[in-house]
Amino acid sequence: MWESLNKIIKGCFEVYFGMAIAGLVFYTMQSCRKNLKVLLWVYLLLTGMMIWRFFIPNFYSTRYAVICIFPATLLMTFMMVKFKKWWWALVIVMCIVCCCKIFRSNFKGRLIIDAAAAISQDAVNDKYPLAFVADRDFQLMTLYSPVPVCNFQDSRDNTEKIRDISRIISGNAPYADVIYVCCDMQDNKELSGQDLGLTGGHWKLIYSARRTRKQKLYFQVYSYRKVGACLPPLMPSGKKLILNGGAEEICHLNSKMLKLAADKKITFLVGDPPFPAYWSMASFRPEQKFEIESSADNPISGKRSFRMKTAVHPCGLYSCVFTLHGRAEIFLRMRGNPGSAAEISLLAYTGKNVPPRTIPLLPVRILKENQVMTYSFSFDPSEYALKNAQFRLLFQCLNGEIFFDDVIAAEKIETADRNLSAD
Amino acid sequence: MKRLTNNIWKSVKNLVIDFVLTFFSLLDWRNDGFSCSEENERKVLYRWLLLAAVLFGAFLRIFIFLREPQVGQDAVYYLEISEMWSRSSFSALLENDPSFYIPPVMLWFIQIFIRMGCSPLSAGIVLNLIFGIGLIPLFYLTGRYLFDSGKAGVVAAFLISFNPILVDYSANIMRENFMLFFEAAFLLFAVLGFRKKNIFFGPSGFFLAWAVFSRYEALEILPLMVFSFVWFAVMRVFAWKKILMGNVYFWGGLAAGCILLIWVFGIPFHFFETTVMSKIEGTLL
Repeated sequence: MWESLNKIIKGCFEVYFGMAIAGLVFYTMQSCRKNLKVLLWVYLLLTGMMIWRFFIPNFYSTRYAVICIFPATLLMTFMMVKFKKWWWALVIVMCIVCCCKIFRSNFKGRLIIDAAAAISQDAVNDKYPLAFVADRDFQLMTLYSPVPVCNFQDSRDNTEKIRDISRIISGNAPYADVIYVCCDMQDNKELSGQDLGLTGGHWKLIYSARRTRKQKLYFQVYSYRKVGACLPPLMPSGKKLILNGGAEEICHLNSKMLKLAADKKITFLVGDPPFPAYWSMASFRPEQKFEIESSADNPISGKRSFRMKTAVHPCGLYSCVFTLHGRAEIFLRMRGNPGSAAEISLLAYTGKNVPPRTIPLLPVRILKENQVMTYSFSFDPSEYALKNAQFRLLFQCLNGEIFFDDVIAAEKIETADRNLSAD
Repeated sequence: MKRLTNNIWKSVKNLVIDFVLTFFSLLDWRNDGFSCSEENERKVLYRWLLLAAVLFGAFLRIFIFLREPQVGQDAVYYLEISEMWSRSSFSALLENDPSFYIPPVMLWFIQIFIRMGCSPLSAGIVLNLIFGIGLIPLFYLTGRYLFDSGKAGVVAAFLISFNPILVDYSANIMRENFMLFFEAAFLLFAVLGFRKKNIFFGPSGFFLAWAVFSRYEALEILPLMVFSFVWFAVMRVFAWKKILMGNVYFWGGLAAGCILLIWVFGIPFHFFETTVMSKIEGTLL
């Protein structure tokens, strides 16, 4: 309740709230004899406005209390106009107080805009820049950034942060001229290339600013620029874990699935398209407009490729389930219409009735050109303390149309070291 | 049947004419009740002070926007939906994914601007500034008619103009600005309804519908309005006839507003049975 009251006070500005209480006392003194009925009405009205805010469970924002500014203003107005000679002085004082609050406050800042401008300036000569932004700033960065943006979970723990950033760099460096990583650092401490284990390339801090005036948290943008061109990723060798990774084997949906699709008015599936064998669909919603098939139309390699298309809501494909005892290399090729968005994750199942853990391999990637890109990832279950877990890959098309092919996951690595930090 | 239709049409026409004439006569500064030259001067002074409040309000909002032009996280989502809406329609969006539904007044305004060639970001900012600044004259009128004093109007206008929370909201892309603007319009006409003529309850209900379609929190006004009507009737603050007619106009205006907006936005009716009701329950309970 006190928390709600605090939000109401903040929602209509503390000084206004205090003055409104004074106005209410003033109004009560003026009206208790003259017009008791209207006075009671005012009290009941204000109680009604307050009471639901005190008791609703999701009153988590001061924005819900913004309407309280109206009665507060009217009560203040009532009080001020009663001062026949000095009302204007009161108004001026209030305006000065408000101006102090307005000019001293740091409501939103311009961190993301400035960071996006720094990235834009730095990437002016790069053809394939890529930015990774922590989840909390991801939406805003997509609005302001001129370069494609992916999200990642920015951990508060420095060890985890360094591990995540290293993985981002090593996993994505082959496909971008420059990678930008935006993260928060306490006390403006700078991450060095050595911390991340980057022996090659240029790792540089290009922007740093305080989150707010009160916090000691700094928002930093780093760039990682490769030296020379990288070799394309090599096909992993070893024990193959994924069945039908080339989408060459097709099957047809069983009658149960077809009936479900008809019930949910998913017209594409009702048409019984050729479906990749050993793969399964992620859950879908009624009337969702998506297409998933093993398509023979302009395949990436072989005779068929996986094809996923959606207008608005994501659609997804699961690979078969596999187990891992050591490090795995994952390889695939992908292309898509410009503007299409794809996401690839690894799901780890640790037990019955335990929700799977999602390990992002390729965070949201918006495709700029319709050309085949090759991706490879490495994954070590011991880094995530995942013993005896079962895994499967999840490919998601978030928007547009994407094709992918040659999905290979291999457990044993015999190829040359492709550690990108060495380039 | 034809005669009945004609009669209804005539009544509606008379009501509208009556409303427009009364409203503009109220806006006329000569009807302030001032008679002598000193009060005329004061009247002119209040007019200039209102202008000053509006200009100060506009300056503060634009200044804050220029100093801190970064919009909020929610704004990105609003702009995305508005952009998609401008390319198709709201009903098409909802059929693809019902979770897109949010009260659509702001999105509707933004998509109109996008269709006219504005970028989504500039459309959102300009509209929020306009609605934020528009609140100031509305509060001037509310203060003026609630307290029967031009001075009260000026004080209310300045207090709204300088409120730091409202200044911050107006320099952002937020649905609150639209809700507050339409709630202020509702309040103004409700005051006029109680103080002047019953017919003003009509636009009061109409603007409340706009507020409800801006943000669900505006629904809290409905029980308060019902309570107010009942209280004034039981306590005999106003005559029964006035309360009765006020109710007719208010609920009529509200219904007309809701029907018009549902039609304009193209929200499928079956939507209200599931998504909208569950969201309202989630907001209020």
